Amino acid sequence: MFQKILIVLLCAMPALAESRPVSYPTGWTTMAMNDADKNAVHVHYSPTFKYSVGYKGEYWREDEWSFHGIQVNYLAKRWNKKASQANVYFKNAIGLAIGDESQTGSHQQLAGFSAIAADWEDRRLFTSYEGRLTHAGDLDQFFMQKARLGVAPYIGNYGDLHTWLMLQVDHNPKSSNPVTWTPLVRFFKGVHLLELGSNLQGDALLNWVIRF
Amino acid sequence: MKLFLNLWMAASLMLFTGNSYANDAHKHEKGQSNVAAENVMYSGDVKVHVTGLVCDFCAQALEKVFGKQEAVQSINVDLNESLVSVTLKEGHTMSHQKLIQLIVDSGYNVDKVEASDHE
Repeated sequence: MFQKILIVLLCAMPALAESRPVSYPTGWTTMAMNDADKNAVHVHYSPTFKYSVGYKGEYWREDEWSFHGIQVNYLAKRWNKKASQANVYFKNAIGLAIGDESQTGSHQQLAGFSAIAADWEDRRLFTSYEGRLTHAGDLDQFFMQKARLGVAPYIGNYGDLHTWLMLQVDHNPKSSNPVTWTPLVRFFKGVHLLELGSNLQGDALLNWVIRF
Repeated sequence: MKLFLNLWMAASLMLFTGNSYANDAHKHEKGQSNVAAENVMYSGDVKVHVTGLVCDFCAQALEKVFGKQEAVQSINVDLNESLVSVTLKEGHTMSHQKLIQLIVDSGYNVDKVEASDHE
């Protein structure tokens, strides 16, 4: 049932990227993320620019389990410079992991994850790192990392269509492909951020963020 | 696992040993000011040079936060110049402290403020 709801959500709301997990005061953000390992949605509200809280749903395709829970994102530190910005975030979620009925028999486990994310960007270059520890009882447990490097081929002003060329590397020891490289393109205009890519094994990446 | 814990501890140390974000912003701004800034009241057009402005989400944050202020008639964000131009409604003023606080509450810092009318 939960998986059906998640699939409906994913169809109605394309994938999102988790860049900027905290918005401006009273801002809402909707994210959908689809990559080689999982489909995910995250809808959060930011009371202040320091933290956000919201729903997180994930479906891990290889091990066939889903997660539904509450995620809190905290901006631990921001460095604002004249032409650049750097951030350190903590992300924590707690909820239920639900095994795929056809594989494991439907059962639920208390689950959660804890992550640290850091990024630095100016208007030409972007780099980020995230490490995440996930615990889902006997359904799954793993530590995964991802990092990105990006460059903007041109620099637009506010309201223009911004384009970024990025390379993402993922490390997940439990995955059938523990290390994957994903070239992707980010389009960013107004309140929308869209990312399209494919890893070297041919798995698609599709992320979408909308902020309102 | 060890790598994750090490990163977590490093980030926590940075968080707890560093100055607070708001304090950093205020100190930086004060260093640029030539006046007893806390007592200044602005009217008309105010130009604020802001640090950390790197993308449209930053600009939207400033628009949303300033847009909720009754005294604000309009706001324009220029990413190329890292410049936020605020026009206050006729008959309305905004204190220097309030202006700085709105920028900090949006998640950014103030480099300097230029205003045609202030008292």
